[in-house]
Amino acid sequence: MSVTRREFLRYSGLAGVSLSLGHLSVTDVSRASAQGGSGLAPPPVAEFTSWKDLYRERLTWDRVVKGTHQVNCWYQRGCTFNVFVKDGMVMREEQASTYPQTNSSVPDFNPRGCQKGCSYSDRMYDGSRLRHPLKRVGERGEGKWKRVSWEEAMDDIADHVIDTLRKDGPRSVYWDMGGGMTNGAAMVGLVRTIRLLDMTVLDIDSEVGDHHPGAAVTCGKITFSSSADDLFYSDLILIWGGNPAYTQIPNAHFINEARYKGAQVVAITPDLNASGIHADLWAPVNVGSDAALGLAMCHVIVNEGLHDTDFVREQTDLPFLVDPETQRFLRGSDFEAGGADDAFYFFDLESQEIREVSRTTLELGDHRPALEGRYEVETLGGRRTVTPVFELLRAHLANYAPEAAAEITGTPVKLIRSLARKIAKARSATILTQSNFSKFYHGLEMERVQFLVMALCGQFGKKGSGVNGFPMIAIDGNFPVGVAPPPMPDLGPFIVKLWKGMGPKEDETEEMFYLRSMRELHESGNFISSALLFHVHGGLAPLTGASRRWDPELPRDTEEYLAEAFDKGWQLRPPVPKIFFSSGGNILRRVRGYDRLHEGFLPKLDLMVTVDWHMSQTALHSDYVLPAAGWYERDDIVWATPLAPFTQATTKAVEPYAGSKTDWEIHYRLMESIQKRAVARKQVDFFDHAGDIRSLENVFDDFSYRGFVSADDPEPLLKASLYITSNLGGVTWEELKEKGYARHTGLGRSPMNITNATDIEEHETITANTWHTDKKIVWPTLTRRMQFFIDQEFYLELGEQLPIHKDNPAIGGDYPLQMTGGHTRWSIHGSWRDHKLMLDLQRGEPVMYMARGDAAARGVEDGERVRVGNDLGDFEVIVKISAAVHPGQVIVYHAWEPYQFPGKKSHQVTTGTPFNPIQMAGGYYHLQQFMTVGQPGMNDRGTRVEVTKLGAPRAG
Amino acid sequence: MRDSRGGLAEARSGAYRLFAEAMIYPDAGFKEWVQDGELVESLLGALSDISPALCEGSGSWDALRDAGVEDELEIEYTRLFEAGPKGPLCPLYGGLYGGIRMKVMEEAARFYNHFGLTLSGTPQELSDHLTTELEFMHYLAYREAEAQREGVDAGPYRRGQRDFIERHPGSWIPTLCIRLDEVEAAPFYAATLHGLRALLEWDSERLQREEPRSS
Ligand code: SF4
Repeated sequence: MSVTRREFLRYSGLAGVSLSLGHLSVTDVSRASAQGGSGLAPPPVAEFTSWKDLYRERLTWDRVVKGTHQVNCWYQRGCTFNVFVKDGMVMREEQASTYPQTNSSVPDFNPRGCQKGCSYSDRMYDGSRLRHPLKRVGERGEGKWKRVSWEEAMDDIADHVIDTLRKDGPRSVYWDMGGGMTNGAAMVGLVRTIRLLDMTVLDIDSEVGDHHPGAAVTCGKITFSSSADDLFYSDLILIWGGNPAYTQIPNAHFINEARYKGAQVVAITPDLNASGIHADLWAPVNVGSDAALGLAMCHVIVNEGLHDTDFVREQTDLPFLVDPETQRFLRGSDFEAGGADDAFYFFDLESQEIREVSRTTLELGDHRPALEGRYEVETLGGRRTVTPVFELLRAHLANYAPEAAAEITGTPVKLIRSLARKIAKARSATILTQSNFSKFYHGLEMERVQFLVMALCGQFGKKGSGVNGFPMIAIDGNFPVGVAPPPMPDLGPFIVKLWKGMGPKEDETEEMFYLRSMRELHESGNFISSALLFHVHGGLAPLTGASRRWDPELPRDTEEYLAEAFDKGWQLRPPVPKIFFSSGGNILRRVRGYDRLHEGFLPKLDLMVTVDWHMSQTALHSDYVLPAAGWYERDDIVWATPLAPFTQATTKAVEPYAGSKTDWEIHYRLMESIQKRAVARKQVDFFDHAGDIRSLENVFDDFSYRGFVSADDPEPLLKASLYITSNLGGVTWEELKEKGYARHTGLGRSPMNITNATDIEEHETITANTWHTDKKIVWPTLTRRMQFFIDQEFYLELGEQLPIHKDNPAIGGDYPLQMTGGHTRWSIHGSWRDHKLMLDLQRGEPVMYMARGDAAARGVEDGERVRVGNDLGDFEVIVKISAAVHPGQVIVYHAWEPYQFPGKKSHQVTTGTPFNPIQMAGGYYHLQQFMTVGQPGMNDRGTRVEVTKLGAPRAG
Repeated sequence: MRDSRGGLAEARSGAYRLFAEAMIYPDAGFKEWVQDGELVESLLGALSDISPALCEGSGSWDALRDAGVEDELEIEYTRLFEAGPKGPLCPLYGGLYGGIRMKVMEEAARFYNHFGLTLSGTPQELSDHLTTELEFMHYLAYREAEAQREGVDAGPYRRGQRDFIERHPGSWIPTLCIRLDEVEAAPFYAATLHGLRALLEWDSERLQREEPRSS
């Protein structure tokens, strides 16, 4: 406070009082001089009788702009809102509901939105919103903070970064972007920071359990999905591994609409969840037994001859010849020294000869591959008997007769048979699955089996059919802008240069080319699996490495598999962390076994910085907390999914609240400080990971495209991104901003998009993978088919060469209840978890759902507090008794912050989360690590626990 | 007590401005202002011109001379009003103490607009923040005094204050005070906000009496 201000504020009855406004100003400029008590006549004022007068103005506002939520609501994402602004504040939002109907035969997308998005303005302004940069002044986690200026914070952080770059190397600086990724300015900010400083980004996909390992193994890719309106063409919708009534709120109406049209909806879930109650049929299945259920269905399909032989022959590896002795494919290298390891064979029933499989097309021509039989072949190793994978599969399926499987799954035998027949006979069946099975220890097998069921029945490529992988589609112009060198306006030539000399090799498809590019990029080590980071450097190894403790069938220790995977280059070794930027993530809430990070990870860090809009659990333990702007306080472009194939704009309805800043500006200011401090300290050089010297002297100039883009106006980036985007119909930033969204017109040149493998037509719903089924373009796997037989060494060692059911191990110990979870209806990850409006719709605090009988057996009544524990830890929670919960199951939906529980311990202290070594496999064309794919996953589903009654819940 | 209505309004305008100022984030200049006793002296001057009864309990006013040592007051301000899991312990936003937040914010903004004001400033504060609300009270009381001096009808300003206190600061400051006591807030903030609560109660009761609402 300045001396002048102090004098001004001094009260003296004689001197009178001056008018002093700071947060408010006089609207009429002619009256502005009245401030300060100029002696002008008081302005006329409208009559005021009571506060009710104000309500005449209620439905007026200053302006309406388009906005969306830059949150990771993934499967349901993409809803444009009208955002109403009054006096520089957002007053409310309304679903814009202007999405077009794809064509007149399918329902439209309106209105898109969920209750979280509809209350975002309230969340944006709620009490937890951070206002200014905070610096820790007590011990980490003690909760003592003081406000600092942005400059002070940035300069200090910059000094730490410079020291670390020079001393420990750039890779020891980690960025965790959590789910905060955009396709616009925030992304460019991160990409440029990382590339210019050669830092590390956490790849969290397998840590959170979204990595779809079964899709990766079977299809060679995980990112593919049809549009939600494509469901209208389905006559059988299987909700299996998801709960769209909770997690796809804006899309769920398509399921009901398909049902009105005659589709049958079947929910395969342990609990009769919110999606199940709207289904025609509920197929109960014991927790963790979905692979057994699927294999039993395959048993029925194959034994009753219901399989689609044409599809199986053309699209899958099931006709490929295998030596049953060695459990290896017959390969080119079996016939000649130096022969190809990726040449495979089938027996042609037409020519009665063994033929090499085409590497370039799925078209069979005159050939008719055998699915059964035994064939003698002369190989370099002598005479061998080979047989199609299908024959091995048929024998394998003998273990899964419905009667036997029912013992595992708890699903009635009759129901298993009828489900199998339904899928086989459906005109167009689809499985709505989400990232659920990835969160099981044996989830890879569960997913593989889903693909197997549907492949046997030919349920891919037809409108309304398929299995959703990980859905994603984005503009293809954003990444090139992120990596473009300055100056900015030369993007055209740069793009040409970027892709120059790059393209599919002779026998590569476009998909394969992009996937190879991703793998090559990954080898540079900028992306590191967070699961592996926390295993190696985070103190989580006693959990993630303890697989054999719970899974005694495992032949070797996890560490042994991991050492092999590291040594062979199948997995990347995480560098030692020194600085951790949590910018969109929240590891101390998110990571299973997060409590171990307090001891194992945080003490290793010289600096932890959190960028967030609220005081998350991670922010609470950081050294600096930097307040992020809200989603209605920034201009940006948000990526989409094919489910709702519209890229969205979020526009700056109002200025960032208090002292908060956009991600772009935070990166900008950090880079500015790094250059400034490095030059001031005369410490401008550092060695990058390759040992090459880099300079910090102009690093900010390069970051800002030599001043082309400013801190508070990222619009040039957004304009440039759209200018070079090829898959959004040529829409400009101005147009996108005005309308709020634009429909994708193609997949463009993007590794993430390309694996949807389909053409996008303006008036057609999107059906994934039609490039394979219609155009006969090969799949990006080793066999170039949907691959169900994997002869990689870990698969052979673990007996998983064919899809298999393995019992969920008793992770956590010998306890009777199995804890599951799922994405909640009332929050998108942690973003609304402690939002009052959402908590008011639940019990106001963390809650666990429990079956009536299980609660009664323990004397627990609804609303009572219990202790839930196992060999690893315990937590307290209140119980909601639910008739919908499977006996033996308890459900804690995800993303509660630990501080919301008594004792500040969440359910994640009980999750054992052991790695399954099968997911470390590599060295096998499509089993290779790259971003989001091919890394060992963390898991929690089916954690064993016991529940003990504690009594009445706490008050308040 | 100041001997004219205009004088009373002026004193109230000054008191609200000082309370607003006392609740900004404490930088170094602020702490000097506190330690030099300027804040408390000005505040007590204004309050005694309003009603000497508001100055009673002089012991607690001494807390307004105590800015703590080193960063104590900043740390306490952050703990109480700025940040914490689930938000700070005692947020300074009226809409967080009852009703629907967005409606509370909107109504406050419409009060401001009605009286010719708009939210401004960099960074902008929200309409239901304590300091914004107190600034508005400062403004209305100032205009009331001005109108009275000029012989213009001050009724709208007075009725505006009556309803604004009742629906905004007067509706939540008492709860804020209870929370401050529960979390053992530093005496500086406890004394400031209890003092503010007393002023609002006094003012509200007087305005209700002098400007009864027509039924
Ligand atoms: S949070 Fe996601 S699903 Fe909900 S309204 Fe916003 S964009 Fe739509």
